[in-house]
Amino acid sequence: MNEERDRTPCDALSVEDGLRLNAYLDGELDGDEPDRVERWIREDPEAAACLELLRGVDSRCREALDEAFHRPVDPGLGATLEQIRQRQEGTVPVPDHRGGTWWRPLGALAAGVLLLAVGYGLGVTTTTSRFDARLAAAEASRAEARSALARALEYTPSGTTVNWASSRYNASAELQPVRTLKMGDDRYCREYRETLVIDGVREERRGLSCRLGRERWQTRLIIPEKKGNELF
Amino acid sequence: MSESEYQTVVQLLPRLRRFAYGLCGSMEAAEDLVQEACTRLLASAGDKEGYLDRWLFRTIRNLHVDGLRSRQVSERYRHRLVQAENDQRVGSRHTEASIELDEVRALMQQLPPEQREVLLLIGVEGFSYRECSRMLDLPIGTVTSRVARARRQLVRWMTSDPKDDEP
Repeated sequence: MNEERDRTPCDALSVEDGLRLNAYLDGELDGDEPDRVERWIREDPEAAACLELLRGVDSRCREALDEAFHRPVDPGLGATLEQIRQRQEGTVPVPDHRGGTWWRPLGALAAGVLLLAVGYGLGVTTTTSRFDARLAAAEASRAEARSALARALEYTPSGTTVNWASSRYNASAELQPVRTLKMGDDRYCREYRETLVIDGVREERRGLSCRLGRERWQTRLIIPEKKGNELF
Repeated sequence: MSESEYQTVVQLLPRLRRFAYGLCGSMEAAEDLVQEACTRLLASAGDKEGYLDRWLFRTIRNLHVDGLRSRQVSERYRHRLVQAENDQRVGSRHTEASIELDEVRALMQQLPPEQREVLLLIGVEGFSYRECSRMLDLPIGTVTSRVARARRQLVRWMTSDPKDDEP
């Protein structure tokens, strides 16, 4: 990639300042350091822009890995989990690991047998499928919410809030395009605010999305209003 | 005791899988890593109360590193990684949203592995620099500079003009 063309506000900062911004973002500064960084950000637009971009990186990465986060648990793993639950009650033999790989197929076999033989009795199937259903619904809700956002960006004037609710899932959102930007190459991008509530868990964020075509928008940046690692 | 251990693992599971996926870039290989880490937990002795989360993240990371380095780890794992790489080359038949997420994942895979793991633990999973340095046996200074370099690089890549703009 072309280094000159790809220069970002973060590249304008010294290494030291870059480390400070990262440490601020990660809540690693002590004493009056956070206040000093906040003053600095208020006075230096380049530092402020860099901070937003750094924040965006984390949320984009998290979003890109969401698929794994919400994936249903497969029966093999469900059975291993059930073994963990049972292990100190002496009802399930614990595989002995001696550094080789022989135990792997045996472990999988044992897990399968356990699932088939006692899974129902122990409740593993019920637990797993309830878990699965919930995660699958959350994933489907997100996909619906993304389409609703694309429609809101396509048709809603800036400053107007659109309320969306899923007809199939326990999910709703408030979507508000904030402003429209015309980029150098005549593309349109829009900044927006989004409050998403899925299964009672609220997520608030701002984003920047660029138009690819009719009702087709590509999100370029997402900034969570608060840093969250909520599990569900 | 084991009930609480179980509860902790179940609660951590989505994050463990996200971390594994971020490390290796393949969903199937990530599932293998998590499955193997749980099996090792089952086989390991001793109460891990208070540090079970760090133990699991660390185990997944070590399994991944071993998988790339040594013959001890299953061929299946390596096969999965190669397969995932090929799948990415085949191109995309997904929706816009997922193409875009594919791009972000591909960029993450382009980071040097030592930067990627630190970014995943701190930026995505929210561990502190100290927790991360303990998990990876690294000085805090190293962790600090790696997370900064990883983010700066991704900012560059993510803000550069997309090549595939459409009308």
